[in-house]
Amino acid sequence: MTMHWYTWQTKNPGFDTWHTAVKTGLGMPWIGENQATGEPEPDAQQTTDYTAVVEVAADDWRAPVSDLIAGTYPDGLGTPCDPPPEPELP
Amino acid sequence: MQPFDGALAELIMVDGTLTADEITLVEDYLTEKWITPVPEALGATLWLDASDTSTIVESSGSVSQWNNKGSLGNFTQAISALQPTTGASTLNGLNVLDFASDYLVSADAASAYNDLHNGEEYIVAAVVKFGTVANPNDFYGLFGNNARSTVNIGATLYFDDRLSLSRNEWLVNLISKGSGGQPVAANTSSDNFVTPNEFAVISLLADPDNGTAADRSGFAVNDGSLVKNNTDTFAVSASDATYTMQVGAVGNSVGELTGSVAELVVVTGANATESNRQQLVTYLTEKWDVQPVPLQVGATAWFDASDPYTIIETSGSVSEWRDKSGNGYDLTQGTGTAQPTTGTRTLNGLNVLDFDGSSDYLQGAFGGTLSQPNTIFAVFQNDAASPADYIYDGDDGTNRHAFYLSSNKYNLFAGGNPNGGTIDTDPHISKAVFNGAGSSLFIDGSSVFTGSVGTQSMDGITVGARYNGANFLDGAIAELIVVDGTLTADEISRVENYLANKWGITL
Repeated sequence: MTMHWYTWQTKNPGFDTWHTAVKTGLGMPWIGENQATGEPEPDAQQTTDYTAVVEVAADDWRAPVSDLIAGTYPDGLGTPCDPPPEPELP
Repeated sequence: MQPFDGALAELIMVDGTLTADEITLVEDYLTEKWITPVPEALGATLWLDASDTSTIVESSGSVSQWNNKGSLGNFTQAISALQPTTGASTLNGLNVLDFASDYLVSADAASAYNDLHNGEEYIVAAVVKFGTVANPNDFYGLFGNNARSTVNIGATLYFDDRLSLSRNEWLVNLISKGSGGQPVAANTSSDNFVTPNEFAVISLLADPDNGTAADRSGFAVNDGSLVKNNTDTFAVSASDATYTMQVGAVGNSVGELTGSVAELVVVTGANATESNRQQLVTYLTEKWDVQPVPLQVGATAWFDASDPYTIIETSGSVSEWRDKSGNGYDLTQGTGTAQPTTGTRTLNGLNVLDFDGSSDYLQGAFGGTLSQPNTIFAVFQNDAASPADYIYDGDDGTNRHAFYLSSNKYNLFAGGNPNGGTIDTDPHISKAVFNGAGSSLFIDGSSVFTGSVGTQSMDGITVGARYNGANFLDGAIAELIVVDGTLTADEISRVENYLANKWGITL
């Protein structure tokens, strides 16, 4: 799964509108499976979001998106960009 | 009112209804405990149970006969000086037999245990304590019928601590075919596999004639994964064992045991499967309350990527990594692109979680705050050439216990930032002691630095990133153990040896 970063000028409606469409298309939330038995675990942590957005500036909201999802859900997708700068350690 | 006329063994009341899985769990528990114990359900050929004193014939504590609850015959010892002792020691409140260079002999012919060397699959599961070998030329047998010799026919399981041969707490299953003077399968566990003078659940799944060497046999201690290290390729033998089976020795009165045996189970044939081995281990662990090393040292949180039952995933993306400490401090990640990957990477043949370095991490809150001192062990592997990555951190900005890689050095942070060493891309075991000015970091058992980490507490943990989801680890995490407090030198050694043996890392 190759990931690239994209930027939106607003979180809502920009990123949120696109992300909601992706989640609906993917059928989220996803219930996880126990790796040992392969059985669904309804009580386990669900996958509720496809990706997480990072606020870099007031008009710069960035999130990682896989090439597969970017190609499948191009409407409302942000503009390709660099990963957000990581904070100074620690 | 009509009074009940009968016996009541156990009563469990639950407020509400149970799922089908929960009902099965309770019924299995009650069935195993009161109706059909696991060794009986699996058709054990050998089942010696020291907690069942009705199976022990003794005089003044000296055991002349130990009756086999399995399908084969009993074990006896007529010579009083060689009789083990009963009634002197317990484990979890249950009686065990103590051996002081003692052993018992099967009443069956030598051929009765041919299943252990003729290519049949079999399980051995036992709760046993091996003593420290006082004589540097001694080894201690749990059972055997080939006198631990490759020129004989049969099988043995023994503890080898012989300094004269540079042995260091080995556990060996030797299956010999006699002709050619070579073993069919000499399955020797790694150094420090078992700890002398401590009870452990040891288990073995053997398939002597398996065409794949790595699948031929494997050991496990407590609830650990199987360690498979057999590489011999010789044919099995259909002939009878050379000697009568002995318990507490390995045949022909060789290798008398110093130590204690609580229970010993052998299952052969179709029921000798990995799932049944695990079932026997669970049965023995619960009955005798023998805990894995992280629980022995009181782990507050324990994450083990080799245990698939603790990993919740969808298509390999991990949404939850469950805490094995019993405290329920599970780690979660609800965002798909931020979930680490399982099932794609191993260390020493065991599954690890892979973190992509761009967005993956897991996070969980503890039920309370852990003030310093705290001790955290991690088994990790960094993949990045010049990382600025966190192996772990707290789960907020004010209660941080961080271990991170930066400026080509190892770093700790809990308000202060001691650092040192040189990072690389090899797998390592870290031991970080967060203890104010007396803090320290050890890598693979060796000190890297000491210094002051500051005074912050810990109330949760982020694995694979900074507390706020940044500085992502590009690498793998195999196991993480959090202990509230400091450990003794012996406890530290036990944990580090447990991790080193399990993950194939040299201390």
